[in-house]
Amino acid sequence: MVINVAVNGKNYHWEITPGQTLLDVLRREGYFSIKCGGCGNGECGACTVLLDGNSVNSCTMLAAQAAGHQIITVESMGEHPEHGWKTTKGLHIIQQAFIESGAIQCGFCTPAMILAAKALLEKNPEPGEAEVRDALSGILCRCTGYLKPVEAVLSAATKMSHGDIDNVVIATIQTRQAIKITKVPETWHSVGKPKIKVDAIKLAQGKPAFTDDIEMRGILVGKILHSPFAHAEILDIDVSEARKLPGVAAVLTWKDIPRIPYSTAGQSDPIPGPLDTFSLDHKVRFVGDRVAFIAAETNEIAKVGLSLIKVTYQELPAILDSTKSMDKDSVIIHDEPEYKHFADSAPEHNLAAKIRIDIGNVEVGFKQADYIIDGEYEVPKVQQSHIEPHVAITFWDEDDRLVVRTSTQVPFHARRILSGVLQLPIKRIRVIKPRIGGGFGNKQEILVEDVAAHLTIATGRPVRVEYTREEEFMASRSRHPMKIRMKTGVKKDGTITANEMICLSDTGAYGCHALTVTGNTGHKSMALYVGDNEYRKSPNIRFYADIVYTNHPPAGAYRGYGVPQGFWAVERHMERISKKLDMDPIEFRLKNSIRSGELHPFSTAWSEGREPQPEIIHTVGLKECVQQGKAIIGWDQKYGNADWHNIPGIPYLRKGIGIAMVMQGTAIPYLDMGGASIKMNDDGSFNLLVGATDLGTGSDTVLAQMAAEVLGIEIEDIIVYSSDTDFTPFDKGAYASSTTYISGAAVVKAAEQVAERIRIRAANILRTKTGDQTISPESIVLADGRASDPKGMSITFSEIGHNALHHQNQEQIMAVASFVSQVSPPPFAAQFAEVTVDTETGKVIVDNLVMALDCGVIVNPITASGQVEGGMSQALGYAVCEEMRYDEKGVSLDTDWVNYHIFRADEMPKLSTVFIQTFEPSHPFGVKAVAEIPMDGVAPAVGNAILDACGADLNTIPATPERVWEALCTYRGETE
Amino acid sequence: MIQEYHRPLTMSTALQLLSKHGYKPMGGGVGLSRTSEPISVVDLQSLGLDTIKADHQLVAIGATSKLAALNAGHGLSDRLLDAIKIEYSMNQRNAATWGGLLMRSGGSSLLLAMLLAMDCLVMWQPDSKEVRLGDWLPLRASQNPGKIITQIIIPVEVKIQFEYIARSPRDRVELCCVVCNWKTGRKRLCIGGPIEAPILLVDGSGKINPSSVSQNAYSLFRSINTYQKSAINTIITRLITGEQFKW
Repeated sequence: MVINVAVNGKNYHWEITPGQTLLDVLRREGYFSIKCGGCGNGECGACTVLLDGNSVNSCTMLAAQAAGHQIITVESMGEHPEHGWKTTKGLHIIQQAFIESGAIQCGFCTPAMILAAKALLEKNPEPGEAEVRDALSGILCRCTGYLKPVEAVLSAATKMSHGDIDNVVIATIQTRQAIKITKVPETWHSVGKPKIKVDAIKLAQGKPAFTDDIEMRGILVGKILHSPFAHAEILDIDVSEARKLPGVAAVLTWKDIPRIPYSTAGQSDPIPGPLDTFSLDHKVRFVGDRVAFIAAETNEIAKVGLSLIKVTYQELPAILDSTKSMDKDSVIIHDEPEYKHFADSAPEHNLAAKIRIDIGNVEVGFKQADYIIDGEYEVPKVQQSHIEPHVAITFWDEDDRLVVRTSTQVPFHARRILSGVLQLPIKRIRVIKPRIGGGFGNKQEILVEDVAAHLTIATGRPVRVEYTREEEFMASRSRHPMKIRMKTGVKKDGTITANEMICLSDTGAYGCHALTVTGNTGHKSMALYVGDNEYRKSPNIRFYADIVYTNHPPAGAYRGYGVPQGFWAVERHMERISKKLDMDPIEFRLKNSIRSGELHPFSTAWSEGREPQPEIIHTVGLKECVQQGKAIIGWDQKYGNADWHNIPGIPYLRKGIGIAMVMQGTAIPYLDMGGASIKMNDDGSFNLLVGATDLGTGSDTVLAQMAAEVLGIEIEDIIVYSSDTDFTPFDKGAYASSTTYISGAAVVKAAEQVAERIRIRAANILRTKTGDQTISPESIVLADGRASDPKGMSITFSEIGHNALHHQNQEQIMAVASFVSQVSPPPFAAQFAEVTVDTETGKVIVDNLVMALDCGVIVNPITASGQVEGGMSQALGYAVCEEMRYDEKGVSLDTDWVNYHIFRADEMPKLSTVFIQTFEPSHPFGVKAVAEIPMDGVAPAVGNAILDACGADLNTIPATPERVWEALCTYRGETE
Repeated sequence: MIQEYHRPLTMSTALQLLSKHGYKPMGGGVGLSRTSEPISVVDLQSLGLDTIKADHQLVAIGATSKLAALNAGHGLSDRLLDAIKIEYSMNQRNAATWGGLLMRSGGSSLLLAMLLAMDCLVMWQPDSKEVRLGDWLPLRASQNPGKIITQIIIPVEVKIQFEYIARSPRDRVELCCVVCNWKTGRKRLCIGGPIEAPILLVDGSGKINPSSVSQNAYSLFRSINTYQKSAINTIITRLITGEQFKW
C-alpha cells in the first residue's frame, strides 16, 4: 500500500506493507535520528517522533496510522553552524542547550529527548521542573540520571522565552550542587574545565553515528535460535525446511562451523578465565543459549525460518540454585573435553573459578576481638540495560578482509577473539567501533559479532545481527548474583581486628569474567576497612570465593565489576557493627578505613592483572568526602533527630538517613595498555587517534582536553577519532575505569612528543625570522595555538603546520605513545541516602542521594558529574527495584522494561554530586577513576537509611516493599 | 502478523469490517499485535470518536481520545490525572486511547481500577449499547457488548482516593486500591493486583468493615501470600477509615 505522509514539512508517498511500523519505515527512508532500543513495545522511547506536535513512540505505531499526519524528527531542527560557503540556520536552541548542559552522554536517547522538549516548549514555554520531567517520562536514559537533560530543557525554555540569556535568571534545579574543588590547578586552561563534549553536536542532531545507522546493499538479517531449555543435549537438528524457505541465505548449526572453545569476555591476553564457550554447540546450558543461526533477506523471513528449524532435545537436569552447584550428585554443566582451564577452574565440580586470599591471620584477629559479628547478605542478578542493544554488521571488503562494524567496548579484544573463533588471522579482520549507545560492561563481551561473522563467511554477504530487548534480557550478560557471608572481629573501642568475606558467586552457564568480577568483590570492598592502630600496619583479612556454574544466563561485566556486590555486604555489615557497639556509624567507619600512605592490603595478595606487587595508596580524600557530603545532606540535623524522622499527620511514614563509604580501582596494573597517536595538520589542528572507546562517558572529550592542555590549544582544534583497529593504536578498551587514567596518560605522552617537535620547529623558524640564534626549543612556550619565545616573538600553529608539511625540511609532526600503569590508585566516596518508608506496607521512596567523591583531579566537571548522576541512578535501581527473576525451569520472568523497571525522569530523587579533588601522583594530571564508583554505595546507603527509618534490617536487595515489610515484621518480633 | 490495514470513515463501514473473521479494532499506538496469525486491523482514528464533552455532572470521553487529551479543565478529579501519569509516560499518553485502555489494561491497572470505582458507563456500537464498566469488565476476555467502544461516561462529582504499592513511584503497580465517594453517601471501593481485571469490593452507603472487605479481597486472588494480605488490608483500611473517605 502507498501512504501520504508529511515528514519535517515535506510530503511523501511511500510504499509500505500494512504491518510495517512507523519506526521501520522512517529509518528505511534515512531518518536515522530515530533510534531503536529493541523493545518494540514503546518502553524506551528512543524511537520518539512528534506526531502532530506530540511525542509518540514510532515502534508501536503502524506507518499506515501516520498517513495524513505531520511527523517531525530531529533532522528538521538544526544543523551544524559551519557548512563551508553555505549559510546554515545553526543548531536549535534546545539542541544547543543539551550540548551546553552536558545532557548528552551516549546520545542514543538524545534526539528523542530533544523532540519531547520541543513538544513541551511549544505548548508550555515556561514549564516547571515537574512538567519537564513529565515530558521526558517516556524516554528512558541509562546514562544521565536525567538531571542534565532536565536542566537543558529548563535552560532552553528560558532562552526561548526571554531571548538574551545573559540578562535572565535561568530556571534552576534545586538538586544541582556546585562542584567543589579543593585544589585547583590554576595554570591549566583545558584540564579541569567544563568543556563541551567533542561528539555532542552530531549526537544532538541525531546524525547516523551508531553501528546500525548505515545502509548496505544486499545486507542480510542474522538471527539466533535460542534454547527453550535450561540444560539439554541437542540430539538432532533438522534445518532442511528452513534452508528451503525463499529468502533464507544460510542456516548454521554446530555441525557447520569449527568447534573452538573461547571466552566471550573481552579481556587482555591471556583471558583470565576458562575457555568454555563455542559459537554453536550440541549442548545448551541456559534458556536463551544459542542453537542455530540464520541469515535471511528480511527480519520476517528470518523469524519464519527459525520457526522451521526442528530440534530434538534431550532435557538434562538443571542447576538453578547456586548453593547446589557443587553438590556431589549435581549434573555437570561443562563436560566437554575441549574445556580449557584457567587457574583453579574445576568444571567437574561446576566450579568456574576459586579465590582464596588470606592477608594476615584472621583467626588470630578473631581471638583478639571482643565481639564477633556475623551476617549473611544476598544480591540479585541485574541487567545493564543500555538503551542501544548489541548490534554488529559484518562484511567482506574489497580485499576480502572481514570488516566488523560493532557496538563494542573492546574493539581490539574483539578482533583477537574473533580471529581464533573464525580461524581468520588478525590481519584479515578490521573492527570499527562507531558511537556506542551505552554498554556498562555488557559490550565488553563478544556476543553478536561472531554470529554475524559466521553468517558472512557462510554467505559472502553483509550481515546485520541486532539483539531485541527480549534477547538482551534472555541471552546477554548481567551482574553476578552473590550470596555473601561476613564475619568481623571488633574490639569494644570499635577497632576491627579481623574481617572475613565468604562469597558464592553465580556465573551462570559460562565463566566469562567469573574470576575477575568476583575477585574485585573482595579486592575493593574488603580493602576499605583495615582496622585501627596496629591493625593498620598488619590487617587481618580473608576473602574466599567460589564462582560456580549454574543453568542461568551467564553473568559478566557490569559497571562496578563485582564491587557493588561486595559493598552491599560490607557496608550493611559495618552499620550493624556500629549499632552493636553503639558507636556513631561514621566515626566507626573512619576509625577503621584506609588512609593516605598505607599499603593497599590486597596489593600483595591478588591482582586482576599479573603477579601482585605492593602498592601504596597515596591519596585518600574519604574524610573530606564525609564532611562535604554530611553538609549537603544535612546529616547532623537529621541523624539521631527523632522529630525529623516523623512526618506530621502521617504516623505510618518514617524518614531515614544512611551512609556508605566506598572505594574502587583505577585500571588494571601491569596488564592493560592504552595507546594514542597525534598528528598535526597544516592549519594547526590535530588528529587524535585513540583505540579507547567512548561509550557515552565523555572519554573522547577528556582525552582531547589532556592533549589540548599539553599542546596549548583548545579542544576545538583536536579531531578525535575512536576507534578502528586498522587506524587507531591498540587500546584495551573501555572497562575497569581506565580510560582517563591509562589512555589519558598515553595521550599525554604522545602530546608531549608532538609538543617537543613543535618547539624544535618553532625555534628554528623564529631563529630564521629574527636572526636571534639564542632561541632554543626549551624556551618555547605553547599556548593559545601559538609557540612563543620568552621575548614575545611567536608563531602560530598554522604557520608551523604549513612549514612542516609544505615548506622546509618537511616532516609529518606526529607521535604515537602508549602507557601501562604500575598501580591502580583507588577513588573513594561517601554516599548518602535519604528515604521515606511506609512502615505498614514496606514501600520505600528514595528522596535524596548525595555523593561526595575523591576521584583525583576532575578533568571535566560536567562529564564527570554526569557519570556520577547516571551511576547513582543505575545503583538506585539496584537498591530498590531491579532484579532478574526466573521460574522453576530457568525461564526469565523479566524480559522487558515493564517488568524489569529502570527509573524514569519523573520519579527520580534529588541527586547531588560533589568532588573532593586530590592529586594522584602516578598520573601527569593527577586523575583517578570516576566511572564505576557511583555504582557502589547507593544500595547500602539506602539499606542503612531504611534501617534508620524503621528498624528494618535488610540482608537482600532490591529493597522491595515485600522485603522491607518482612524485615519490619522481624524487627517488631524482636522488639516486642 | 498484520496483513491488512483499514481506516474506515464511517461507523457502519467499521462495523462491517469488524464483523469479518480476523479483523481487529485498532486504537492508538501503545502496543502492536505480535500474533503470528494473519490479522487485519481496523484503525478507528477517522470515526470522530476523539471528542471530550464535559458538563457539571458528567464527562463523556470519546473512545479514540488520547489519554493526554483529558486535562484539569474537564472538571474531573486531579487524582484521575495523577493516576494517568503514574501508569503512562508522556509518549504513551499521547498515543494511548481511552477505548484501548479499557480493552487492554490488566488487573493491576490503577487507572482501570479507578474507572471501575467511578462506576463509568461504556457506550458500544452496534446498537448504541450502554454498559456499566463493572458489568462488562468481568466478562471482558470472553464477551463484549459490541464491536466498538465509542464513549466512556465518567461522573464528575466523585471524590477519589487511592493507594498503590510498587517498587518505585513509576514502576508497575503490584497492588492498588481506589475508593470513590459520592455526595449521596454512596461509596465504591475497587482493588487491583495480580488478577485478570480490577475488582469491585464495595458499592453502597452503609458502614464498611475494612476487615471483612479485605477478607473478601483475599478470596478473589488466585493465590495470595502473607505480605499481599497484609498490604491489601492496610491500604483498604487506610482508605476506608481515612478522612478522605468522607465529603
